[in-house]
Amino acid sequence: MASVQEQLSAMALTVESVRSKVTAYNASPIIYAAMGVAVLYGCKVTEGEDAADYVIALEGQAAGDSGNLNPDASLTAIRPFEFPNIASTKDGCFTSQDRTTTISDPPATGLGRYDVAYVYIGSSNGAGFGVAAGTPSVDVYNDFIANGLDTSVYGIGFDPDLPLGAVPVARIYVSDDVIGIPNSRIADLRAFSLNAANLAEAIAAVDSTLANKVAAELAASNASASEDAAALSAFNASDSVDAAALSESNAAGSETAAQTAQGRSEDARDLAESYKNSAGAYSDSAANSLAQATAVVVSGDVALTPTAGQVPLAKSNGRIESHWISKAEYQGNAVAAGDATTGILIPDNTEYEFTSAMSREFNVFIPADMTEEITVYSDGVQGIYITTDKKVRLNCYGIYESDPFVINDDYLTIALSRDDDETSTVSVIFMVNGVQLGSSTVSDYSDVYIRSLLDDEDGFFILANQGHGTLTSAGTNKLQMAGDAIGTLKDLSANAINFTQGTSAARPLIGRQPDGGSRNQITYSEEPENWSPTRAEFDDVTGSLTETTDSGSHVLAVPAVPVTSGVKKYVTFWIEQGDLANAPDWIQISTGVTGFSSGNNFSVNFNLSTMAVGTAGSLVSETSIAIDSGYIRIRAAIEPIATTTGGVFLIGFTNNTDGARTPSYVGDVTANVFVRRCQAEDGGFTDYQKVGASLIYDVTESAVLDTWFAYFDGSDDVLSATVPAITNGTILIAGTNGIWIDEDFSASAGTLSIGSTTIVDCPYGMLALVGKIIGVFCINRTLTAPELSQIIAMFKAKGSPGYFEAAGSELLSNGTFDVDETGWTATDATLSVASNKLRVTYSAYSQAIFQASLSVAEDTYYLLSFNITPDSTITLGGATTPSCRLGSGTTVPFGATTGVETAKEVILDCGAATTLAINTYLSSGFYDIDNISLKEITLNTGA
Amino acid sequence: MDVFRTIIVSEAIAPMVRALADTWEGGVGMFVTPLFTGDTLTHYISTGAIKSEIAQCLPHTDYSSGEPVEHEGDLQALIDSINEDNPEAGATLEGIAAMLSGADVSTQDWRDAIARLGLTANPEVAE
Repeated sequence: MASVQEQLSAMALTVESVRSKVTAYNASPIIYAAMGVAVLYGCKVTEGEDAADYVIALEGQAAGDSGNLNPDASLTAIRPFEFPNIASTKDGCFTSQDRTTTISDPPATGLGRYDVAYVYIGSSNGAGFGVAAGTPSVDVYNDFIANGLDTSVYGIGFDPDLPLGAVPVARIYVSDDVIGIPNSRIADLRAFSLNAANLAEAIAAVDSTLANKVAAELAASNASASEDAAALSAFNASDSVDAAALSESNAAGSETAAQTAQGRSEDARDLAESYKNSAGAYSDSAANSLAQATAVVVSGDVALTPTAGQVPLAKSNGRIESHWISKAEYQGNAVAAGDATTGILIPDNTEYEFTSAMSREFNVFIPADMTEEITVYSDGVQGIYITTDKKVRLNCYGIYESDPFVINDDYLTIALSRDDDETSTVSVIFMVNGVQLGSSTVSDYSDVYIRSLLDDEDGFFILANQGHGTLTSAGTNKLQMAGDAIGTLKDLSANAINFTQGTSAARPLIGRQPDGGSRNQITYSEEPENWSPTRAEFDDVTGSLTETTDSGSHVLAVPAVPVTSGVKKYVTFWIEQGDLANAPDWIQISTGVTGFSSGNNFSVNFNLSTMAVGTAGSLVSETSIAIDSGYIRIRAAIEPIATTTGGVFLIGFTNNTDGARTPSYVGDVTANVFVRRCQAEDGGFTDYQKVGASLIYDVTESAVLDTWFAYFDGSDDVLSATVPAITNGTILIAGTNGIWIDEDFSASAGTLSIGSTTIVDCPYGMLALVGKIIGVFCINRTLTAPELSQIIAMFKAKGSPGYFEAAGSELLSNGTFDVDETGWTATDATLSVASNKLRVTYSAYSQAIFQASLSVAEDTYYLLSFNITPDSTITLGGATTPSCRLGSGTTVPFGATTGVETAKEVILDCGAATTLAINTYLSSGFYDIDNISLKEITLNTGA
Repeated sequence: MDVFRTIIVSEAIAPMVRALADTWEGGVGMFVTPLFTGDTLTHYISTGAIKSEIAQCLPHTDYSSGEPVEHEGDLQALIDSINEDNPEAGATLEGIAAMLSGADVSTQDWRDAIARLGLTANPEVAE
């Protein structure tokens, strides 16, 4: 193989040859027409001056489009090659300054359309820029919701026809859910295949490692007077044409880069940066495959040596310099590697798909001392964070965390990518100054692959999350906040089986809780303005609790929590000493009367100046005072003497230094304390969790991922969709308690409902088992073991702790009635056995059959199954549906049955006592029941 | 903006209250979930977020502070709203007041509300 220098020379000659040819041809209309349809320079469609209007721009020098600029562009262009926008059409050469055009009004709510912007040569008026409006449809709308902006080449089914000879340059999604056309809704369709520089690039790509090798040698040349350095210098200094060719060959057509290279010919680092641009131009291939393309920071004056496939990325200035490249922006190459981009590009409000067409690189400045977590990017459950213990934590269809790193006042680069093969997993690499931190991490599922399972199969895939649904059943106003009512939950698959609820009061709520669950029981945990002050007032701006009288106790009561007699409640307040004249040193944690009685047994005092703890009351223990999160944290475990839902804890002023229940402090209206937050929990003290307006749907914790879910109230909340028949299919219902899997799921064509207590055709009472719903995946076939494994892994990553199994031993005796009814008793009915089935015959209204003394445990779930056949003269159920109960657990109805033998499955939680009851409400007749089985349901948390 | 309410109505007035709810946005389909006294269906419930304009008009009991606080509501405003949107409804103050006298409207979680009223979500189970 030839040496690097030899290859370099050969490449330079080749490129120069190409460049000479192009220069010789110039921008002749004839030549361009002969070359075919393509964009040569510029022609990038953008939102223009205002993202909130419907005017779009055709720009020749759009921000971030440096790889596609015409180096000869002039604002006062005279010759064709001086225009910033140049394209080759079948009619000849399109040349133009920047232009604008206006998109037609958006379609009606719930519809979307794809318009296509194009350039053309008019027969009479020369160059033109126009937009062909697409046809509004629900399909486009749903496709956009499910899959985001379609960035594929022109010609998808949604695209409108274009005028003869027009060259498509952008696809624009138009809907009324936002006002205007932001960049995030513009997909770049430009084809640069005939760009002269790209031809050169293609030549250079013959040896894909050449650029890196050259960069390495040029970098080395900066440090010594080696032969390479001499050659480099000669190369750059002696012949400007060669230098230009070299740069051009690697700079995606940028003659500007070549000129820069000439001007800084001795600066190897700058040359290395030109190779960075070259590598950026490879983006459709190597740079987007993160398994191959990782990022390297070129730091200071040290040019690091990229290894094969790596992309040099220039360090830029600013505290956080990040590239978050949405599909549309990527396709437009709006943010090229090395561009100085301030801030973070927030994507459109559809959830990201982590596709092979996306490259993500973040340079994050890491200060020496980190007191707060850095949120590099956050959008609901997804985000990139730098934890205070200096780890990178990322959640984007998977959860990743780097090894701890040691970086002080320097930059960290995060690089992500995935393989083109959708079945492959995602690689995540963390690097600092070119050195990889720890090992590459790999997710154990691919979201895109999971979705693709439904491409050619009936079924649906829903995830309860921001952006995955809307407030209304008409599909307007995206879900955003915890507590938002779900009017529509979108199917993420192409089948568009969306679940809706038109009755506002019957909509479940979207919510979040920390991965691992909620512990803090105080609502508005850091909004004390929602607590209750006594003889004091709380300033919700400063957080100051100030006494308002000069007598009595001055306290602030947290919202009530349930307490159990004899079971300690662990209470923590985060406070700061007051700043008024007589701000007291001593502060007291105490309780309300309910659940605790009065007296000194339930209080303890803390000195905010000396950090001392006073003598605790007799039912107070585990007291402490410490600095935490910039506040003074005071803690006490307090033992109630009664069980109530109205236990109240207080923070207040005191002069007492012992456990006195009644503060002796006599205020003078100049005492205050700053109250910041509170936590009350069971089982011990843990890290703080923030609770918003509801314990049910708004709990978060620093450095812990959110689990998003749909909360069904168990009364009337239901979401419904119209589904095709599912026969012997598979369904996974993932909740905050675990995943229910049915690998032989069948459902009739028609309405399929989730709620209020189960999913149609799943076991009755199932929602109580799985908890708040994270998502549901349903497909009309049996899944392979690897497929099932990936879906389980995905739901576990989103917060389900494992999957349920009911494979234990049989807990009932004589459930098949082979001989007689031994083991079963009844009330208001007589029992007999007919044809090996138990016959339950009416003797009075409201019958029940029982089996007692079962080996069941309280607070454990069981799967009850049986076959039931009502007498042909009756309907089993109706307004008063039959039901089951285990011990004193929840009564679960199991639906009406008429005439034929029907298999039933019911999930029961077991309360105290050990009797199974099956209740019916016959007014006459009988029913037969058989194959009664009861098995414990266990949670498998393994892989 | 929607506001949380738990509304429990007797079986006798359920059809009328359903017809009333049909006149407000998002109200179609309310009061179809039965509640029981013993093993007899006696009430229907609707619990969740409803339009604040409606919620504030309905007389209700606020339990958010722990202690019940009665709110008179504004039935006339409710009637005006109904008649404006549906002139043919012909709602009257007397009619609405009489009907809602058989309703329990509160800010309680439905479990607390039915327990307060001695109701159950499922028919009583034989022991």
